[in-house]
Amino acid sequence: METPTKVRSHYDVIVIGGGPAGSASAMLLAERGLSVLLLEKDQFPRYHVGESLTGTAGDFIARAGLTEKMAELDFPAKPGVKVVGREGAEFFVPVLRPTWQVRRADFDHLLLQLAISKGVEHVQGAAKTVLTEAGRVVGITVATANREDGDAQAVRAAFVVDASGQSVFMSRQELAGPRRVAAFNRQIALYSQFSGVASDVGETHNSTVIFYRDTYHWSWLIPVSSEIVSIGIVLPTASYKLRGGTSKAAMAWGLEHMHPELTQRTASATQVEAMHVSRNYSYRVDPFVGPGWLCVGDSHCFTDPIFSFGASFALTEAQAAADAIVAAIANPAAEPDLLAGYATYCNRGQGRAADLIRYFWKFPAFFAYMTKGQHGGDLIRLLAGDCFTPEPLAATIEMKKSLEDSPVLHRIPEGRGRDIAARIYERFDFFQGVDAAFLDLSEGVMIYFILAEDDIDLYDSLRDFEEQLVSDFGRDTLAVLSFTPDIIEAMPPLDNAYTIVDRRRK
Amino acid sequence: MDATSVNQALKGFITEKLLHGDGADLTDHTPLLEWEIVDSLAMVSLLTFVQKTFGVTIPDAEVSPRNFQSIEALQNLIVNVAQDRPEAADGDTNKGA
Ligand SMILES: Cc1cc2nc3c(=O)[nH]c(=O)nc-3n(C[C@H](O)[C@H](O)[C@H](O)COP(=O)(O)OP(=O)(O)OC[C@H]3O[C@@H](n4cnc5c(N)ncnc54)[C@H](O)[C@@H]3O)c2cc1C
Repeated sequence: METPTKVRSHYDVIVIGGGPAGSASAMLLAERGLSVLLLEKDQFPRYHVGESLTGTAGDFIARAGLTEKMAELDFPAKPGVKVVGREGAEFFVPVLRPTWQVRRADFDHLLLQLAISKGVEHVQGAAKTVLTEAGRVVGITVATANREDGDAQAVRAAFVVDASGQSVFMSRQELAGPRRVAAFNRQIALYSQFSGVASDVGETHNSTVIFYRDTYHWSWLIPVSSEIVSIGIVLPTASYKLRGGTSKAAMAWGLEHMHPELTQRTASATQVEAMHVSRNYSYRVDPFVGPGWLCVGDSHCFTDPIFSFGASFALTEAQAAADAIVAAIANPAAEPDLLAGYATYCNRGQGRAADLIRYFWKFPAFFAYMTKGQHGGDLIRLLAGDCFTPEPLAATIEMKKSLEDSPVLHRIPEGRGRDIAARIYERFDFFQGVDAAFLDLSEGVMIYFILAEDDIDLYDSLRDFEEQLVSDFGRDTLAVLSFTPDIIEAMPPLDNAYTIVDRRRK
Repeated sequence: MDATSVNQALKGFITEKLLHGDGADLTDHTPLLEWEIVDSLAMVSLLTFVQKTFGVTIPDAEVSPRNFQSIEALQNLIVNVAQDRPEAADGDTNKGA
């Protein structure tokens, strides 16, 4: 593709990033008659993770008129998700609406070209800094390929969209809030593409397969063409270290031990793409909207890839973002309300997806039963990406109840102590690497954590969590103390403490 | 079916099969899930036990953490399911009546 590098000095909207969030936002804005600059730092096509789409992405693709292109590009039609655990536990969730498995290099390129065909001006270059006037974002500085001298050029716009993905541009510019770790952090994913993988037959042909083993050990298998299959292995960081601490060793371990079906299907597979690694990829940025700007997709939130929501959510949010921006440019006085509405919409969808994922990891066996029971239809809808409905589905309410309610909490006297315990309980997924949590109410509120290991990332996560507790419940007589196994004797006696979680029993 | 006998049968099963006889600390409120006394394998054997002992089949929709979180919750579940479907209680199949 030609890589234009000329930038005008003013646009209605600047979009930073040319992934699904950026290309979709840009094309929808251009369709409404706005002048749009889309900046993408990388030369397309480029490899990207995130190959399995949900039904909502399928809707977007159909509306954009890309259905025929999907077949031309040899993207497999996706029938659903097969989830395979140990001891033969297995269930299949069909897609609600037609959708695809894609190679992101080609899919993202397709979306970008579509955006350009709608009048979006695409320039290869990187956003460097933000221009503000009286607290409002009025543009950015841009370094394009032919201005490597570091002389970034100023470009102004009525509105700026951050779609920079995991680079979290607006957060790094300290306009959006800090990047905070979310549940399921401290995981590491290794992935690549393979040929020669045996395919599924029958109803599940070309479906995404999720194999899971012990908690937070899982892998994906996603056919991305008639020849090529994407495979990823996901492990907690501590477990990765135990498997040799290299991506090659961990991939080999995963292919051999995650599940017999995976081992069999990959027996004569050949790796045809470089090995890629992502770690600590779960986070949230809040706030993620402000005067003259907003974030879409991964630039403000990413939870966990297990149910393949990322690219689909980016497309869903892009539509809401475009609506809000068009309306705000037409009626500037309404901008604060429009942006607040957009933020609520995103938080709702991301929050429901997070509940679904948390429930799956906490109660995998119950999840399988739920797909068969009265909430089965709701789970199909949620997995199709329908997490943004104004009212929660009954399944979500049921899952939330189970996640929040526990006999562990009923033992603690009602009040601030119990509320804090509930928060710890609810967010325990944070604490991979934490073996136990206790609450001592004899003097103020003391929280003791027993850590499985001495690890700098773990301390960072805990400090983040403590900050969140303090901002929600006040610093007043609240203390968090952590003990590694070597200093466990230093922990105060637990006679009067409540156990919130204790994994050491296993 | 009375709650006390259900309670005792459950405690007996959990102590013997899931705690290998070490049930000294087991109470009606012991968190069965958090303490990983009932994991996915145990759940299947528990469901089989309930079906064999009380003739009660727990509907899929009721197999939820809320109903399995403690002995008290399980006991209420079994009693309620048996009450809703009296023909299945005590293994006494009296269908068509
Ligand atoms: C291990 C793993 C597995 C996943 N599996 C799936 C899956 O199966 N299905 C799924 O849907 N999602 C999956 N995801 C998530 C998915 O990759 C993302 O959610 C999705 O790509 C988000 O789209 P986006 O447009 O917000 O960001 P991206 O696709 O990351 O696009 C951001 C773009 O911005 C560009 N950029 C960044 N900074 C700048 C700058 N300063 N100036 C200019 N350009 C910039 C980048 O080059 C990039 O092209 C997975 C993620 C992980 C980590």
